[in-house]
Formats: sequence, C-alpha cells, structure tokens
Amino acid sequence: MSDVILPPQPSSLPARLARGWARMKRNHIGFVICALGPVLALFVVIRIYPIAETIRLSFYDYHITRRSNPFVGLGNYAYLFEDGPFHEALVNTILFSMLAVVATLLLALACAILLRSIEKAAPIYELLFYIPVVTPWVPASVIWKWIFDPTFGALNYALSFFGVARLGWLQDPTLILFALVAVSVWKMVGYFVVIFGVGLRAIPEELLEAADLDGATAWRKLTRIVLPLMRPIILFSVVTCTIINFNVFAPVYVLTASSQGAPAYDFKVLVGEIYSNGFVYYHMGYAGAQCVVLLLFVMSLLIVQFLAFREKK
Amino acid sequence: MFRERSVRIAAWISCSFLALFTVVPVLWIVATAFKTAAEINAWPPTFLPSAPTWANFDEIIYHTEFPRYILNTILVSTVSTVCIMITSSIAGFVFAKYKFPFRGLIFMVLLASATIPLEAYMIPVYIMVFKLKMLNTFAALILPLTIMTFGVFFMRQVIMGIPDELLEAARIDGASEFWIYLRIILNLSKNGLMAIGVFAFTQAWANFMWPLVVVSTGDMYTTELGLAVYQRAFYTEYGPIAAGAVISIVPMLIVFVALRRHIMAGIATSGMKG
Amino acid sequence: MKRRSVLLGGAALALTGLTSVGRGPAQAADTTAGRLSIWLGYGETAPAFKAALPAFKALYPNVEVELLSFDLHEYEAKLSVAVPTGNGPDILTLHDYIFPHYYDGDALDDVPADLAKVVDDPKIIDPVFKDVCSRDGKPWGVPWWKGSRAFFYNVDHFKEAGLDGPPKTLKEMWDYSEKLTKKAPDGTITRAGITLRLTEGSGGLQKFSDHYYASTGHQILEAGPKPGTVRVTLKDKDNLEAGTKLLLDYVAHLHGPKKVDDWALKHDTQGFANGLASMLFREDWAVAFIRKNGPDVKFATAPLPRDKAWGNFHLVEILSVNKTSKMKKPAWDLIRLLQEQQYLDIVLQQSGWVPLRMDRDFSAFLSKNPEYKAFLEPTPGYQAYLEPPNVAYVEATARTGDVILAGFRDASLLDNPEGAKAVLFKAYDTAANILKRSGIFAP
Repeated sequence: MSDVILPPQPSSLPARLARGWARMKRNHIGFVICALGPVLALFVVIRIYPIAETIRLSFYDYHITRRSNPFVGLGNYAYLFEDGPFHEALVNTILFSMLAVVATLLLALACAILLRSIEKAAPIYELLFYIPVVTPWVPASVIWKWIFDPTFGALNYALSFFGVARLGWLQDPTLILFALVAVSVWKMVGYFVVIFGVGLRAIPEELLEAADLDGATAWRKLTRIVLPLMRPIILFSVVTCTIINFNVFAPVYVLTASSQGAPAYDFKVLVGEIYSNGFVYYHMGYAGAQCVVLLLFVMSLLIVQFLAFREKK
Repeated sequence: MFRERSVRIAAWISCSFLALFTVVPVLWIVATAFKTAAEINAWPPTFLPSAPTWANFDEIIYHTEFPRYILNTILVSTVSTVCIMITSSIAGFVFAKYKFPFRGLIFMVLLASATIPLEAYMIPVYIMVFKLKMLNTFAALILPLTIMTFGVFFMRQVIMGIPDELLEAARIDGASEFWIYLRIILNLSKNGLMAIGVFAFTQAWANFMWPLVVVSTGDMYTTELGLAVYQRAFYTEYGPIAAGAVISIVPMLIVFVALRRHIMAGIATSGMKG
Repeated sequence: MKRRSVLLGGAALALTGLTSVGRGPAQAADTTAGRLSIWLGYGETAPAFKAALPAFKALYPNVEVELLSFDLHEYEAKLSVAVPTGNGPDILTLHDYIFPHYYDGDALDDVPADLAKVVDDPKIIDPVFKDVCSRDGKPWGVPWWKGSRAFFYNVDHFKEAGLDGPPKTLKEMWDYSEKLTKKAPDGTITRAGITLRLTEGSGGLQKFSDHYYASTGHQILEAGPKPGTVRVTLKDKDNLEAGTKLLLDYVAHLHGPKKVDDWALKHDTQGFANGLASMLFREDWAVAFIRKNGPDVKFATAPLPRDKAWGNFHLVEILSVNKTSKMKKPAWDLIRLLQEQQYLDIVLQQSGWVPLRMDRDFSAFLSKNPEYKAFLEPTPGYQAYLEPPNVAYVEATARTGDVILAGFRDASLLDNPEGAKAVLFKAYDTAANILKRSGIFAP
C-alpha cells in the first residue's frame, strides 16, 4: 500500500483539502471520473434525462400532437386510482412476473448446473436453448397460437391422452396467465442459462475437487460451494428477470391482440397500458404517471432483492 | 463440476427435454417458411410443408431490399455490441472495484432507468435526436444502443469475483488503473464480456420501436422494419415473415457461436492463479 | 431490387398511361427537386402509388418518391411522433378516426380549390364522407376509399341447412345461426352458426354496434350538437330496451341450449375461411383473404341484416398534405393523379377497399368479382354511417367494448334483463367518463 496514514491534524482548510486530496488519490478518483464519466454522460443523455422529462410531463395533460397541453398537477395521478383497466393490468403484471421469474430462473439454474456435468455437450445445448432468444416474436406467435389452440392445438392433443377435456388456453382468463408464462420461459430461459454458465465457469474447479476428496455428495457441493459462490450472478439474474418480466408486453401482444384466429382473452399488462395510453389513446402525460408507478414498484422490489442478497459480514 | 453418474444422466435427460421445448417451435417456424399461405392458415395445422415452396424466400429477397436491410442491421448491431462491451466493462469495473461518493445511489439510478421501457420515454429522445439533426442516420439508430444497464450490472457482478489482491499486486508493480482494466480485468472477465456481447447483438437486432420512429427512408431499414411490411391492417402474411425470420436468425446464431467459442471453463481460475 | 421492379413495371404502365394523360393534370415538367415521402398504414394500397409513379415522374422528373408501409398501429405511432416535430411525410394517409388529431393539431395543408370542389360535389363524393374530413364546411383532405362491413355466408353450409338466401333481419340471423351450428354428440360446438366478435374491445364494440344500429337506428357513440363532441345513446329509453334485448340475444347464443358460437373455436375471418363458421361480418379485405386462405370455401356477401333500421358502418381513408411539407405542389399533384380511374382500379383490385369517387365506374370489376356485390352495389334505403369524428374515438370504443365483451362471457345474464341493463349502464358510464376526460362529452 502506497498511501500513508495521516496523523490527526487541526482541521484548517488547507489541511482538510490536503487530506481530501490524499483520499481521492488513494481511491483513484481521477480514474473513476475519466472511466465512468463518459458512460454516465451517455446514460444521462439517452436515459435519465428523457425519463425525467417523461415524469415532468406526467403533470400535464400532454400529447405531442396537441397544440395546448395544460398543467394538471396531480390530476393524472388521481386518475390512476379510478382507472379500472390499470388496476387489472397491475394485478396481472404482478402475478405474471412472480410466476415467470421463478419458473425461468429455476429452470435455467438447474439446467446450467447440470450442463457443467456434461461439459462437452454444453455448447450445443446452450445454442439450442438460446435459439428462442433470437427468434422474432411475430412468426413465433403463429406457432404458439397453434400449440395453444383449443380444437387442434398440440398441447390439448397431448393432454387428451391423459383424459383432459378441451381447454381454451388463450381464451380462459386464468389459463392465459400460464400460457403466457410458458411462452416467456421459452423465450428467456436460454438467456439465463448463458448467464448462469458464466458464473459457474468462474467457480474454481479446485474447490470442487477438494470437496470430492472429502467425499462430499453432489447436493452438498451444490449447496455449500456452488450456490454461495453464485450469489452475485443469482442476484443479477433475479433483478434483471424481474425487470424484464415487469416490462412484459410483446408476448401478450402477439398472442392476444389479433383480429384473426381463435379469440384470446384480453390480458392487460402495465406496459401495454402505458403504450396504449401514450400512442393509441393520446394521453401521453397519463402514460408518464403510469411509468412512475412502474418505476416505484419495480425499484422497491429490487431494493428488497438487494437487501436479501447482501453479504452478511 | 459434478462427475456423479446420476447427475450426468439427469443432465442428459432434462437438458434434452428443455432443448425440445425451445427448439420445436423454432423448427415449426422454419417449416412454415416453406409453406403456402393457404397451408399456413389451414386447419388443422400441419408441421411439415405438404408442398415445400421457396415462394416466401423469393418474396422477401426479390420484392424487398432484404439484403440491404440485413447489412444495415449487421452494421447497427455490430457497432452497438462494441459500444456496449466497452461501456459495460469499464463502468462495471468502476462500480465493482472503486469507492467513490454516491456510488450506491448512482448505481441504483442506472438500474432504475432500466425499469421503464424505451417506448415510454422515446419521444424526448426523438426530439433530442431531431434537434441534433440526426434523424434517419445510423448514428441515431445506434445512439440508444450504446449502453446497457444489464451489461454494467452483469460486469460489476463478474468483476466483483476477481480478487482485489491481483489489482493491488499490479499497482505495486506500477501499473496504471487503465492498464489494470485492459490487461487484468478484461482478460479475467472475458466470459462475462462475451455473454454481454451476445446479448447486445441480439437486443440490437430485435430492436423495433426505435428504428420505426427514427428511420424515414427505405435505405435505412433494419430487418425488423422490413418484415413489418407484411403486417397488414387486419391480417398478417406469415409466410414471408417466417422466411425473413429464418434468414435473420442465422447471423445471430453465428455471433453466438463465434463469441461463445472464446468462453472456456476455468479461464478465470487460471487467471487467478497467475 | 424493389426499385428496379417498380421501374420496369412503371415503364409498361407509362405507355398505357399515355392515353389518359389528357385527363390528368396538364402541366409541363416541373423543375422541383427533392424527395416526396409517403407513409402508409394500409400497405395493400401501395400498388396504386407505385402505378401512378411514371405519370408523376413525367410531371416532376427530379422528384424522388419514397413510399413506406407499416403495420397500421405502428404507422399511427410513428406519425404521431413525426408530424408534430415537422418530420412527417409529405402526403398523410389518415383514417377518419385519427383525422381529428391532425386537424386539431393544425398539421394539414389547405386543400387546393379544384380538389376542394371535387370533395364538395355531392355527385362525386357522398356528403357523409365529405363531412368526416371537413370542419365548418371546409375540407382538409380528399376522401380516398372506404371500408365497410358486409354479411358473408358460406353457400354450401346454407344449402346443406336448406336455407336459400342470406337472412334479411336480425331475427332471421339468429334463427339461421341455430340451424347452421354443428355440435358433437357431447354438445361441444364443432362449427359455429355465426362467428361473433368476442374479443378485442374496439373491434368487438364495432360489430356489436352493427346490430345495435339495426335494432335502434342509432350508433352507440353519436356526434353531439357541437362539432367534435360526442354523446352516448345507450341510456336513451328506446335504445336501452332494444340494446338490452340485443345483449340478451348475444348471451343466449353464447351460453345455454341455443349456443351457436364458442370462445374455443377458430374465429373471425380465419374461422370462416377454414369452414368452421357459416356466417361472418367483415370488411372488404376479407374477400381476398378468404379466397387466398380458404380456396375451397364457397361464399357470397350480402348487406347486413336489418331490424328497426338498416345501415352499415364505414371507415374512410383520407389523403391530406402535411402543412410542413416542402413538396406541397407535387404532393397535391400526386393526389390528383390518384383520382384517375386506372389508379382507383388498382386500389380496388389489390386491396378490395372501395374508392369513393362516384363519378368513376367499377362495374367491370364487379362483374368479374361477384363476391364484392355487397360492397360495390348501391342498395336503396341502406344507410351509410361513420364514427363521429372526435379525439377519443379509439379509447372510448376500446374501453366500452371491454365492458360489453365481459357481458358476453357472463352466463348469469341468461334471461336476466336487469343484469343486461346493468352492463349497458356500466358501458354508458365508461364511455361518458372517457369523453368527459377529453372534454368532448355531450349529455
């Protein structure tokens, strides 16, 4: 360590400045500013400023096509309380996210761990799992509509062998939740298999070999070595998966919003409502208020997740 | 990692099932690309095309400028991927290894900015790009894709796993912080960085809403915009869209394979030893 | 490659086009240079523009035309961002229901006098369609084509059930649907007598409204006394009674012994094209769709069934020029060109949408394509009506539709007039609140 421990000194201004300078040097503030500065500037310009602007406009009865956009104070926020479809969307989004996060991450973690025992085949499996991530939604929607079709769908056909009667997967307000979770797991599981793969490959093989020598069972190695070392990556996955699923819109849109084929239950979700209000109903200010709800809601979840994963010292 | 026979058998079985789940719908799309419109809409649906046809591929290759769209998309996605790999790794490094005022707060603000989808705050970005006279340029297409919160966050998590002692040792040898980033951090976080590269490329490729608003001439089209032509007001022509999807999946899988090839088990471990 | 094929096709068309040049805007080649941009939400109408390009190029050899088509909703989103910032296309193709946003936003150029005269002439454009693009009698665009709904029926299914023609009244429609429905021994429906619109708020409300209009002579949302305002007719005494009966009819045919349709069936135009439904209400585009996707289905079209009133809903596409355009003159000239018979023929042939010019003749097309009978043949006494032009149209129909569609799902409404009435009251409140929020509610 090159830094010196400064003896206690009278806190005259020059002395304080000197101390501050020494601390900054020790912490490489110059490098931090040079390295992080440009990245933060980009964030401010293309994310934080536009979001702040969106929040500002949530206090106006605003739409870009209108000539007058009066200030309405908390008017948009007050309307949140009486907006039935918004409440429906909020509940649906929470239910959907809970199920999708748990299902996606458990499946991905299990498969990522299992893949490490068949290392040679792992790259091929990872590729196969990743294919849905790169598959565009629109053609995928046709296939999933076929799979979920009540009359001739592959899923009901398979279930008929177990004596299950015709189910309207996309037509029933309850079943559609599970259908959407299945589709979103299909789409995202490969992403998290790759993520967990990176975390698992960073675990030193020596630790596991040592445990093998001690005669540890696979379960013990998993719970005592692998999972604790995976903590940062699991936290990352929980957080990102939560954000991604709270933003769910595309699968809902392509599976339900169609003027053709089997009619689907109109499953409302938050981002769908934000989009509709902003671009279809011409209430951009109100959509901004809904964004604030989304932001506060997800951020409080994330803070809980960070606290839960905090390293106990 | 696990050499137990039972684990290996479980691995083969469960991963094969998952692979079926992920791949069969995609194979169905591939098969759809070779079907006629009547067969795609026929009921009950077929899996394999009864009379395979290249008509859908002909349609998108000869009636749109699809090769051009693919080149545009490759350009946008590649530049975006490089930018995101740089910005994510350096910011992730700083958040993981340096103490500075408001570190936690700044990080949380970055994370918060990812909770809202671009569609919701697109208009202020659009107006800014317009004022910079950048509408309908590649720069505008790429701009929102130069950073990725998940990338910063992921690199932070990965780099946190690199022992501080390695950095200190380098500093004692007189290394600058930037040298540490280039030579130690990038090397030891390569697995994570390549994964971020894959995601960045995929995300840029699939981007739709932003190109939709900033692009106003056909020569700037990306593949996703090009395929949207087949979505009519009241119905969708799925054949050409499936054919386009098949074509556009290929570059992404090539990138996946290319970047993943660099990822090998134990890189980080051997690095730590060295 | 696209460009090349357009040019080749264009060369051929230019030759045939020469003969009709005399009717076109007779001007010498103009020296204006630059790019004229056109965005379409209805990509199926792009061929008309492409066909008119050679003639346009003859007028403006230095103007490059950029034609982009999008999914309708995405087009509307793109337009709403681009036009107010002055980055919109030169020619705006606007639906009657988004038209008020651009009119109110002062985004439209004045219609040149000659075209305004055409729009004003009741012999050329039906005043119903002129009104929708006008404020205080002044048109802000040229109505181009209309979409309307017709009654589609499967000829073979009708023969098989011993029915010799389409139903004339709502009552006949329900009776026929019961006769046409096919059920498996366990009672599940395998073929719907009629495919009803059961999902997607605004679409659902529109189809329900067709029947509501027949039963009452009113639309659910009607223009209020002041321009741009809207009143909700659901609570008017006679309408409430007829509306309740209609909703009860829907519920009776979706639940219980008289059931003729089921959520778990393939629906809408696709269901009809697959032979899984015998009757359908759809717009013009469905003709081409059914031909292409259900080549074996033999079908015909007819006017919608009547009850107290007889009429048909229309949607209209309007051609306007962007106020911030730097290409106003070429843009209006292209719009003038599009009024010519040969390019209107292409709209009809390629998309099935019916051009609005009454001084043009489409009888040759009809004799070759008899399925378009209900769309092209004027029927005396059959009223054409449109949405009241207002800024809350999409939201009001979508949300009100959600309420009505939830009613369809509710089996407890079977033979329950009070329950059905409550649904209509709720629909009224939903619509009224939305209109009030936009400040356009008329009591």
